[in-house]
Amino acid sequence: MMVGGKGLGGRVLRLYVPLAVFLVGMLFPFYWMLITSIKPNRELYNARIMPLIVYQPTLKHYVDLLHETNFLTWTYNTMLVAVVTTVISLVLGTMMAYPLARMRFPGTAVVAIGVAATYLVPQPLLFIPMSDIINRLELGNTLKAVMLTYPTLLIPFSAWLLMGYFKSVPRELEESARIDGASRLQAMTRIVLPLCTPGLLSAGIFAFTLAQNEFLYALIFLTKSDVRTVPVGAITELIRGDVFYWGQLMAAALLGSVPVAIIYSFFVEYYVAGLTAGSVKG
Amino acid sequence: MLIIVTMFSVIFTFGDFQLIYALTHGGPANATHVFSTWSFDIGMSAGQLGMGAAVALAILPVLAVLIVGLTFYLRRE
Repeated sequence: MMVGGKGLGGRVLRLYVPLAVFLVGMLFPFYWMLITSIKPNRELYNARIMPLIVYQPTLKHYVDLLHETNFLTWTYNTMLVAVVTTVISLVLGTMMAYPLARMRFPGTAVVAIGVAATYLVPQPLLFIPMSDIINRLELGNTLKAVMLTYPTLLIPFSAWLLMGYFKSVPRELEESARIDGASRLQAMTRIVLPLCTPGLLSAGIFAFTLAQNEFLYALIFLTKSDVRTVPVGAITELIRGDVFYWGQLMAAALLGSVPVAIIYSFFVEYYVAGLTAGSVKG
Repeated sequence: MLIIVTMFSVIFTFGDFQLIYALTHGGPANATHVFSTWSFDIGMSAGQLGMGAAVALAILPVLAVLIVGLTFYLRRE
């Protein structure tokens, strides 16, 4: 469909100009991150020069970040935690979402409401009880602490997302599998789950991003530098009192967002494609 | 749809912690605290777990209304 038709002039005015404004607005923070991370300090703290241009780009902040902080350890921790928690919450989320979407048993509505409500309760309400539990289990300052607590956010989230996907798969597909002799479990693993690959992938990507960005639990449970994750490490160690190490902060932010960008670009095709389209005709 | 989005963003703004913590730490002189950062300060930094939990729970009544409302909206969709 042509948006804002009426010749080339109209299209430019109604489509490309607003799009360009939007694009500049969205990309500006990344541009700011990039130029701040490659500016030498004397340009960074000089208020008299034009801030949008770098005169003498340098990689000093990146070198400092890698040498003076545990940035690589933080990255490793973040990736490990994010992968483990994503897998846990996808498996458990699927096991929760499938019966809620497909089966009828007393209490379905209550459990479904419970899932949504659990997802909506914000973390600041929960972090004090959580910290008490983690301390009693003596898991403070280990990655297990966050691996156990992130799924409390991610399972309801992915279950809720997957519920919608499971409902979108036509019941008939599963019923015909059952008629052909598949058990309920086989119908789920061989018919519904493959069709829900885009849903599983998008739930996985979202869960991964949430786990990677999570701040509060990581801040509370991980107080030693060598167990920290990237966001907590960067904010606790690159902001000392009122001094912001802007160059290194921006370098950490930029490097920290690279893995998600790669994963996202890898899966984006899957993510957009609706595999169920055309599976049931008529 | 509009009401769902509004309630969503209200709930998540209520629970926001990291933006305020990263930008101001609630300072200067506690002037920019919200419930979450204040309860973190009391419960974690000062070590008074009970009082910190009380600060956090003080938002629950308002939040509970929103959460219940939104949950029922979502179910109806």
